Amino acid sequence: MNAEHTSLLSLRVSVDYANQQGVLQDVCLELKRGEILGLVGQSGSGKSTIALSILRLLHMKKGVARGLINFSGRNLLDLSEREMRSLRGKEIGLVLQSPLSSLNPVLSIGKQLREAWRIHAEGDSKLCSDVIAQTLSSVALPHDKDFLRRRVSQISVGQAQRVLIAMAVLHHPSLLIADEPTSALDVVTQTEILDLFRKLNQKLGIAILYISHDLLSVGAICDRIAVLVAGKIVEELPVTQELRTTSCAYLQQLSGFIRTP
Amino acid sequence: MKVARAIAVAVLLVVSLCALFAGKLSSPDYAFQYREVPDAAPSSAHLLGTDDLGRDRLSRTLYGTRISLSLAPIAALISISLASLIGGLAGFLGGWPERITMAVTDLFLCLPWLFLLLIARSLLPLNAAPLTSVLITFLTLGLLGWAAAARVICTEAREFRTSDILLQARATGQHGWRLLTMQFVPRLRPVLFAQFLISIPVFILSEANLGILGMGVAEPLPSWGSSLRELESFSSFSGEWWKLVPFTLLVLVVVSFQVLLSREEISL
Repeated sequence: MNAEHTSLLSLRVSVDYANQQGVLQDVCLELKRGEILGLVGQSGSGKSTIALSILRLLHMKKGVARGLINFSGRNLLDLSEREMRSLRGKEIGLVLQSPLSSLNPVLSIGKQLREAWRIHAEGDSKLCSDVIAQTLSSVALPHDKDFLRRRVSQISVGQAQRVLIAMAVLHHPSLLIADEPTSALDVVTQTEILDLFRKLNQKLGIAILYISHDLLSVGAICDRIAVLVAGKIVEELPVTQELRTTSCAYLQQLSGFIRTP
Repeated sequence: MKVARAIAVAVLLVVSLCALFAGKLSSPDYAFQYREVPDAAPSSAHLLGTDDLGRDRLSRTLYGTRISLSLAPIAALISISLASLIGGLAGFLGGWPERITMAVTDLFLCLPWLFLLLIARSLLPLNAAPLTSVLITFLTLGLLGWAAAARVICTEAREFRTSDILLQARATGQHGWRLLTMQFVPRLRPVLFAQFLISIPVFILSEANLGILGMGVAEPLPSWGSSLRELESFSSFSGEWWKLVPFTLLVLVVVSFQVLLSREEISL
């Protein structure tokens, strides 16, 4: 079997929060290597919860996941915290919605990237600077000293989102989870970031779990779409060229799924 | 605002320098009694006159400044360290540890600060050696003054615990002590610095309060508090302006700190 078509991630989970039961009810998802899967749904349908349970960071929001999360042949829910830490950032990257509140405002961009690098790599500072420069240019950002010295408040939101993406793909993970990565951006910047995701997917072969409520952007870059309504996957369908070109009918079809109670 | 800030810095600098070179600027023995000239008016020998025991006022004022100005920051450091420990831990743990700690802090804040200080200080030995009395006074200040800062730091820590910054850092694999020192401590630094600056004038004034009541730094060691003691009644200094010098100095320094602070808080 071709490596491109083997399964990278397959999960079947239920999640309860301390103050809310059944946030995810037996949700099944499957992601092949190098694939872009769109996960759409309304606010509060549990999209971000899926992202957090894959990274096993759900406890930060007082949630508990049960079931099976198979990633590269291992069940993540069975791993120790130490093993899980070595996966986060190295095998699985995360890009959050708002770059301005996800990057540390008092640290320079260079420092934050170096910190993300040294967690999973040995400490050669020359190699570190090279990798950072290379990664920054692959997300179309400058990598001169002046830029690395800047803080989040001194760059644009679009640039900050690119920094966040650079940080997530620094170690060439096999899975990138993007949790509404474009919803804080204007339309032009959105398009640029979507192009960037497509490029990273094609060049580095990174599989992307693209979480969004923006159907247009999902339709533009995803290979398949899963629709999540109130903690259940109600529909999974491939995005065909036909669907992309007749986006109106396709949007209607999708929003029809979402409205289903 | 810029001018005010520059003036404040200059005042603090001059006062600290004077305190530092107290021995050069005045008689190096603040406790020596010139018995033939007690309660004298300013003269070329004693620029600010002498007190009722014949001790040089300028020398006592400068050495008192040295004690008050160097020990108030130390007391502030103690209270901020305590506050970071208590507030930081409570904010990070969350849940019931946070609720209990904050309840205790609130209770602490409800107690009238000056009375608390008076009670605590009077429970401790008042007839201790002069140097011990200095330590006791400022330790009491430091150990009692943490509550307000702890609240602020707890809020910061709680905010960080639930922030996307922490989530993003955890998602890149960062963890443990290094995550705290790299991501949280730099974020906390401006808050800690502001809290530190706020506490200094508070502690200077509190020491002066204790000193006026004779519960602060023990004789013969001078401090601003004990210098203010003889201003108990108006008649004791009417027409004798030089007796007001320590008081003026105290007001100048506290006001300068406040001017610096208002700037600090804006820049936060």
